[in-house]
Amino acid sequence: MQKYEILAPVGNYIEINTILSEIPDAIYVGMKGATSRPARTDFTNEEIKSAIKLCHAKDIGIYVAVNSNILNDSFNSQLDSILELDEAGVDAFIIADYGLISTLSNKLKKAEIHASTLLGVYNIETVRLLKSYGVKRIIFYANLYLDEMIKIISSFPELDYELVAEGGTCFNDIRQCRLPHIVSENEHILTCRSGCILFDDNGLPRKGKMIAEHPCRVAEVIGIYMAAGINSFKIEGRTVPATQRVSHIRDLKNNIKRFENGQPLNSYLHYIARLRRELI
Amino acid sequence: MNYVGLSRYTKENVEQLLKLNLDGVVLGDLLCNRKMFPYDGTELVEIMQIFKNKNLSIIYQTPMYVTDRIFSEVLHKIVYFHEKNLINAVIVQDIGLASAVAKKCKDLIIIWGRMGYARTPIVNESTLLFYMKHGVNAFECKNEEQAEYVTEIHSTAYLVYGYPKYLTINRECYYRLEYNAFEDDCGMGCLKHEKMLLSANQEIETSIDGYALGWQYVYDERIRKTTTYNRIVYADSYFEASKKFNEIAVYNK
Repeated sequence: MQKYEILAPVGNYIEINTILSEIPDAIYVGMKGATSRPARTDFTNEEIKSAIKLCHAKDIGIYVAVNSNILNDSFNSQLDSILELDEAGVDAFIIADYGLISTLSNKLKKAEIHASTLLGVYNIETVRLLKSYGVKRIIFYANLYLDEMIKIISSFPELDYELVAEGGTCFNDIRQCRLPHIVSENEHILTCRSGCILFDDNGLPRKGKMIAEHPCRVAEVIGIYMAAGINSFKIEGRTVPATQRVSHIRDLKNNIKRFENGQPLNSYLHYIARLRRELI
Repeated sequence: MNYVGLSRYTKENVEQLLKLNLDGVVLGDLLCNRKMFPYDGTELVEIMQIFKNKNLSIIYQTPMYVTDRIFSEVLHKIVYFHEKNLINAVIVQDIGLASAVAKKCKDLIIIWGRMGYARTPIVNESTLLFYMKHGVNAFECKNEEQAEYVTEIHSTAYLVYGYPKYLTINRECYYRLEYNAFEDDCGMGCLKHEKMLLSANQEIETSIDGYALGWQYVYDERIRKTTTYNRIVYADSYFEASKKFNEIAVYNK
């Protein structure tokens, strides 16, 4: 039977047990100084090594995100850190730098390479390239349509595919957005989700649509994505308290179980109805 | 060599450009050919031939989002243009496309574009070499430091005069989202530069430029003075482009 993975975020070593007690299939953490999130949400190498022991004791995987821009000056030190953590037992590295992927492709002994959504993988040809470098998983870009995902999955069924299922709010091109982000009550408030006023040709104001609609909670319609061939579902949010992600882990587990028993058609109908409600 | 890339190519713009002292032009919109060409790109070959007949080089710019829905179409266009000797180079923002083009068009210059650069920033040599290994043999550069770096690793730099600045970009057209989600006739709202005020947390006033919010070109004046590297001047209009070329000519007198 197909195994589906729930991948949960941990942004703080102190909170790791809160997440591990929910028994996700894997967690992901950021490597200090090497991610696109605030440094306070990253783990030091020592914390990661300690986390590896905790995770593996419960048969939970641990992935390390290395997904910020890797400067020339720090390339070798980052590489050394990765190799050290590979030796320590990290299960995978989430990488967003093509140069780093190509360098790591024949150096890692145990850990897998997962291609970050920040690489912007849009087509079969790019997946083919990444596969040739030993990448084992593609984390789908948020703006790909379902048929585009299915085409890629069908072309390379031997790879793993991951999708953000909860907490992802980015509507726009991930690295291209310069709209202000602010943190309020431990949540990222995105300017794109505040209301807009649009001025018409006569300069008269009227209510505009939000740039970013409320994120569709993939958990509700996860049957479609399971049917499409996606086998890993990620919960975003290393920057929010772990307690806020506990319910997401439970929701995902319940929904995966529900659709594993065969209700993909219902989720498809639900998805279409939801889409129509949001657009009209 | 000096190139120009306009936001829109009308018959008048094309005739006017022929009067400028150009070496080439950039044709093809990153996001929507309907914005760039009055007939949605149907007239592209004809425009290419006009420039070619005046011995101008043509750089074809590929879309920003080359998903499998359009991959074959984009690739076949490039192969066709190349076989017919209509293009000298392509600008790509996707490594899969670059790799496929390099396999089919052996002597074509493949330029890694500024939007590909913005998406996966090239900040280390390893990534530059990765792109070069998979077909890229030139890079659009934001400044002379980048251009020097590119040259040091034996590639070719194209300095961009008129680097894009924007708030955000999406695969969906914001104008159509606001006005006309399903119908085909978008009304070319992107050309109107309508204002939209973002209320609540931040006071941001911005235009809707089709798939982008607040799209504009920013000109780094240091690039006027370069004579070492190729230069691409991007501009919204012929008027803006000719103004920038005059500035360059005056500066380099």
